[in-house]
Formats: sequence, C-alpha cells, structure tokens
Amino acid sequence: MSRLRTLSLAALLLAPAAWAHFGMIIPSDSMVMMEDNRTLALTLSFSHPCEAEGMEMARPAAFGVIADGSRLDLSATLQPTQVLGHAGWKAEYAVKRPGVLTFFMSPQPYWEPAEDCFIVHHTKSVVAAFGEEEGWNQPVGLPLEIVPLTRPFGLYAGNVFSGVVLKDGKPLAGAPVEVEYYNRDGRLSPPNDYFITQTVLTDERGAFHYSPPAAGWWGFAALVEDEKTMPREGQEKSVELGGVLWVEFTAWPGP
Amino acid sequence: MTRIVVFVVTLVVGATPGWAHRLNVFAYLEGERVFVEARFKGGTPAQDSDVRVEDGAGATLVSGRTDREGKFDFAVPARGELVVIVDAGEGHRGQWKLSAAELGGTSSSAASPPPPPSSPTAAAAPTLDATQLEAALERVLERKLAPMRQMLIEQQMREPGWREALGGLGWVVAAVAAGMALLARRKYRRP
Repeated sequence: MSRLRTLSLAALLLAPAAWAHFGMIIPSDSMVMMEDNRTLALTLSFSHPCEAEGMEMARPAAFGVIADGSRLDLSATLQPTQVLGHAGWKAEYAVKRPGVLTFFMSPQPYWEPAEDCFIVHHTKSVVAAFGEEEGWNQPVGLPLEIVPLTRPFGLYAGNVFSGVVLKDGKPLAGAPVEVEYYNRDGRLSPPNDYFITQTVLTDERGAFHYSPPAAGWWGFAALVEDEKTMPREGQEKSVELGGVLWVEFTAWPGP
Repeated sequence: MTRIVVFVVTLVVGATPGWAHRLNVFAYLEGERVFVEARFKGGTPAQDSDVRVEDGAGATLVSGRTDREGKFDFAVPARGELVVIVDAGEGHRGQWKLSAAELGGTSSSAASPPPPPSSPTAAAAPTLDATQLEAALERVLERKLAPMRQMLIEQQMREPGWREALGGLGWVVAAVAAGMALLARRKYRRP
C-alpha cells in the first residue's frame, strides 16, 4: 500500500504538470475597507486556472464561512453561474463588521477519466474586513487543508508566502503543493508547459514557501492520495485529495 | 451575560502583543443610536480614548470617551454623513465614516435644487429613450430592492452561533440551580 502511495505520489510529480486541477473560491475583494463595496461576490469553480480552462462543477457539498469564531453555512446562498465557460457557483456575502472571514468549500467528488481517479479539492480563501486581522491562521478543520503561516492578505507581489499543510489536523511532510496563477483574462502565455504549474514540497514540519513573481490571485494546492477509495461502476477507484488556498498579491505601488 | 463573555473573549484574543499600534475604529447604527468600537491591531480595546463625532463639514456634533471595552455610543444627532474619530493619544488615531444613506437620511447635495414642476403641456422637455428609461428604472429598483436582498441574505445566513449556545447553557444552569434550591428547601422542611 505504502509503495502504491509512493508510486502514485511520484506519478503526481512526474505526470504532465499541465492540466492541474484547482478547486477555486475567488472573492471580489481580499480586503474590504470602509470605502469599498461591502457586499462580497464570491465565485466558486473547479478549473485549470493558468490555462483559463473551466470544468463542470456540481453543487458543492459544503460552502461556508468562519467569521468571528463562529461557523456559518452559506450553501443556501449559492447560485449557478458560468466560470470560464463551464458550470460554476456564485454567492453574495454582506460584510457587516470588522473581522477575518475564512470562506471554505468542499466539492462533490469529481470523476477524472484521464487520471482514472476521483478528485476532491477542499478549498479556502481568506478575506479581511475593516482593519481587523485576528484569526487568519485558524484551521477550518477540513480533511486536507493549507493553514497560512504568512498573513494571507495585504501581500505584495514577490512576498514570500508560507503555509503549513494539515492532513486530518496534523502537519504533512513531503507533500507536493502545486502553485498556479489565475490567468483570468488569458493574457499570460507561459513560455512552456513547466511554467503552467509550479510545485514545492512541504518540509518535515509540513511547511512550504513560495514567492509569486506578479500581482494577482495565486492558488496553492496541497495534494495527497486519500487512504480511502471510492466505488465507480463496481470498481474501487483512488481519490486525489486537495487542500487549496487562494491568495491575492498586489503590485508594489511605491517608488 | 453575553456582553461579559464577548468582553472576556476579546481580552483573551487581544492578549497577543501588537507592536504596530494601528487603531481600528468601527461604528454601526442600531435603532436610533450609533455604536462605536475602537481596538488596536491585535484586538486590545482602546480604553478611555477621546471620541469626536463630526458632520460632513467637519463641525463637532458629539464628543465623549470610550469605556473599558473601547466602546462608546450616542444618539444619531443628524441624518447627514457622520465621521467618528477616536484618538487614543500618542498618534493612535482612527476614524469611521457613516454615510447619509446608511443613517437613513439624504445627502446634503441631493437636498439642493428641487426638481422643476412638470406639466403635461411641456412637450419641449427632452424625453427619455428606451435605454435611458430602462437604466433609470434599474437604478430605482436596485435602490428599493437592495435592503430587501440584504435582509434575505441575512436570514439565510443566520444560524445559532456560540453566543446563542452559551445563552442556552445559561438557561440550563439556571434551571438546574432552581431545581436544586427547591430540593434543598424540601429537605430542610422535613422534621
């Protein structure tokens, strides 16, 4: 079993990096300030962010926010929408008070015939409101999750971003974390396929580091093969678990 | 009860020392009063700090000081824009703006020249074309529907949080205490 896992991990690392899948939550704003629009628009999807390719996403199994230490179920606010030409989901959230909002989404398993496995990406995005900044490193408690070590808002392009990967709440060493830029308008054309998805590994304490070269939304997807399999047409199939975090980086405005 | 709990939680959360003493000011309307909260980066309340409330033109309408929880509240003095400024000294100053719209009033600019009286014979007046009319209608509808949409979203989002849970626990404790008191009385009455 462990050999199989090593093999599949190797496969994950060696497989063509193109077509990396990412669960996505992109809010209209990562920092809501006094003068800003106080209604956040959130867009949820399952996409290839750097290639600006969409996939069909079924209604998420769970969608919510942790605000002020309490957890709210927001799944009733989800509305169908189109993201990169495919079915995605959107929601609005009215920001009322100062606070740090951690939005999270757990999808229904996605069957990927090309990889002969299911994909389940538990996804997060953190929004800060009205100057408050406590609570950005609180884990949501997802099966696989990136907990930021760097405050995940108010970041400049080029800042080093660090996070720790937790599997069932415990740091996961040696896990690949795939990194992609959200090429929303398709203006970026990477020099070759290696540049589409970059990869870093977590160290012995489960931590990873990355410094994005440009402003925009960057996705970090920690990946691991789940111990559990799922049945499909009478056969047990493996499950790729993802813990995804989306972070916005802003261009240095200064001299 | 809830207030005390909130305060204690604030103290605990705020225990992280913050070297950068940015002052966060937040104010919101509840009924006819404005509630102000002032906290340093890290969550420590800005206690006993100067509060000044100005109108859009900079005239002071209300002044006072925050309490031990960094809080202050006042009755809405005017329906126009309000700026709440909290000054904790040593250059720690923050402010929050409440728009006229938020306070349920009209902005001063909208109150200026009244629209000319329309008459059916004023055929020379420019008429709106279909797109302009549609845009105008959309604006009006958006203005009228926005609060309703907000209410709907809030209703969908509301669910018992830890405050309600703690409140519930309080009732349980009270009920148990009452029961024990009753039992104790019976016991002592026995000869």
